[in-house]
Amino acid sequence: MIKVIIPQIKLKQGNKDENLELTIDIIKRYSNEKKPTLIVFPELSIVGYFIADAMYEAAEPLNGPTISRIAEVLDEKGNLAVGIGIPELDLKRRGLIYNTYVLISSGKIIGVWRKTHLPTFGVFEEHRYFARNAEHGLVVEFHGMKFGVMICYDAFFPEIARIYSLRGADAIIVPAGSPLPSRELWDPILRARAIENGVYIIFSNHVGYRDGLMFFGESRIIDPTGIIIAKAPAFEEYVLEVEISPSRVEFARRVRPTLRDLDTRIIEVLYKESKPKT
Amino acid sequence: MMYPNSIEDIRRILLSINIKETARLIKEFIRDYFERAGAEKAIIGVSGGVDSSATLMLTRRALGKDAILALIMPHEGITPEEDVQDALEIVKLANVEYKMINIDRISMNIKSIIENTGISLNRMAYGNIIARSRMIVLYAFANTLRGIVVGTGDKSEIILGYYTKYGDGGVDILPIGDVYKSQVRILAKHVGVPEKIAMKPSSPRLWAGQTAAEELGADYIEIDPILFALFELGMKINDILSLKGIRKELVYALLKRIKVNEHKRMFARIPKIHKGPTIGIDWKFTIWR
Repeated sequence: MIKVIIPQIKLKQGNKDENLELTIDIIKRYSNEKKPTLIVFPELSIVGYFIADAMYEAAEPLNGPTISRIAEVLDEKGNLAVGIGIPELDLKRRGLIYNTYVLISSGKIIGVWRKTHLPTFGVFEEHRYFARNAEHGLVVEFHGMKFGVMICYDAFFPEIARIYSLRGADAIIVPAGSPLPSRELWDPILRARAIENGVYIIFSNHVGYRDGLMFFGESRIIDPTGIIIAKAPAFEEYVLEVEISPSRVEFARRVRPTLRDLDTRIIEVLYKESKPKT
Repeated sequence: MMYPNSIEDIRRILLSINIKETARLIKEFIRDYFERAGAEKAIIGVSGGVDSSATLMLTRRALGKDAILALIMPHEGITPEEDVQDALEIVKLANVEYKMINIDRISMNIKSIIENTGISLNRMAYGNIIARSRMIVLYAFANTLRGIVVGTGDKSEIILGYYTKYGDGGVDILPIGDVYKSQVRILAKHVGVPEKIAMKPSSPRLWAGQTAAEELGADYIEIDPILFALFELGMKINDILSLKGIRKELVYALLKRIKVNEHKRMFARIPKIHKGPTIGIDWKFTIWR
């Protein structure tokens, strides 16, 4: 059993220092938790998601001050894991930036995921700033449950959730920076990913305005049978607290065994068809 | 939703806006901007028309009465007495502080100083002087009272470019700038604007007897479904032209207006010289960062 916390709070657009303090305040609230606790901040939480060209200046490496500071706060606290989003500056390929989500526990990074599908349409311009991820399917364990991460728009591509599930994930974290025009799409998308794989979906969204764009909140947790077990309100700050359990994953895969029944030969066809035709 | 095949179908979709949530989003926006700007007053020009009345009521609900200063700025001989009475009614209904400033002396002074050079200003030039004089007054109060100027333009007007550049277009925020005029009428009633003001025919009132319907070639109730089909439903122009009940010449006239006024929605064009970001071309920053 793991306690999942989604702090749907008004992070400040572009103010890394203030956001780091808000993040640490939340972490400290749970630092004496006896149960294993996972705190899930939204996409690019440290910069408040949408900051346009200030992204270049805000990017920092994985060993930069933000993660070091959070790791320091989490030192010795093995019961606590925290997911945060940063614009990650690549140190190996200088100048490249990724839309990255990092899971930190016991004073160190336990998982790093980079966004694969970078929305560049309508109000989104992510390709302007970010390079896309090239390594897929990292699943990490925390107190007996396994987690993968699909960053926002990545959740619209069922293949990613499938890979995590085949690799043993019990829950998929979906950190998001989702504004109003996408609002109606999330229930069907997230519930489908849960049902297709028999996994928990943990959706953590920003809330409040960024310039004229409202990030609507409505963070939620879908259980492996596809039921929304908790949902934060729209447009308001709220902290969701929900317990998740591996036995619920087992139950879901008994009553609707999608993962067992998946005919993996389909994936070979998919692979073949996805090659560019000349 | 059925694929719309008449202008009436589109009007129905346009008018089925979730008004309660729209009001909430606008109020949150005003509050958020006001707080982040560290402002102490919201300065609003109130004309007695539907847009400024709706904006005043929304701002009042967002910020409370003490944060608002309403300015009524009639022009002798151009602003109908009825508008002045309606403006007074709405500021009293909102229970906010207001000041009445006759704009004609300022505007006519500017006109006569310019005309002393030998040029005779046309009707539009003077109309724009009136709109820009109001902007000057609004910002004089804003600068002195640590205020922001709350604009009152709606989406229909902004798309058509039916406003004065740096006049009523010269503002800090446009809370109803994504709401079409015929939706603003519903929104206005929702936030307590009296029916008579909410349904009053639109006019910029830049010269005596000017009406939007006459200048634009139709009422907004006919114009809005066309704009809505273009920008919210993404319909192709040919599909719009074949809608039942459409006036083709109106569609062409509106399209032309949208194009020729594009410049009003942009930062002044700058020829790019450097590799770095150029304002109005590839300069991309958010207001708060």
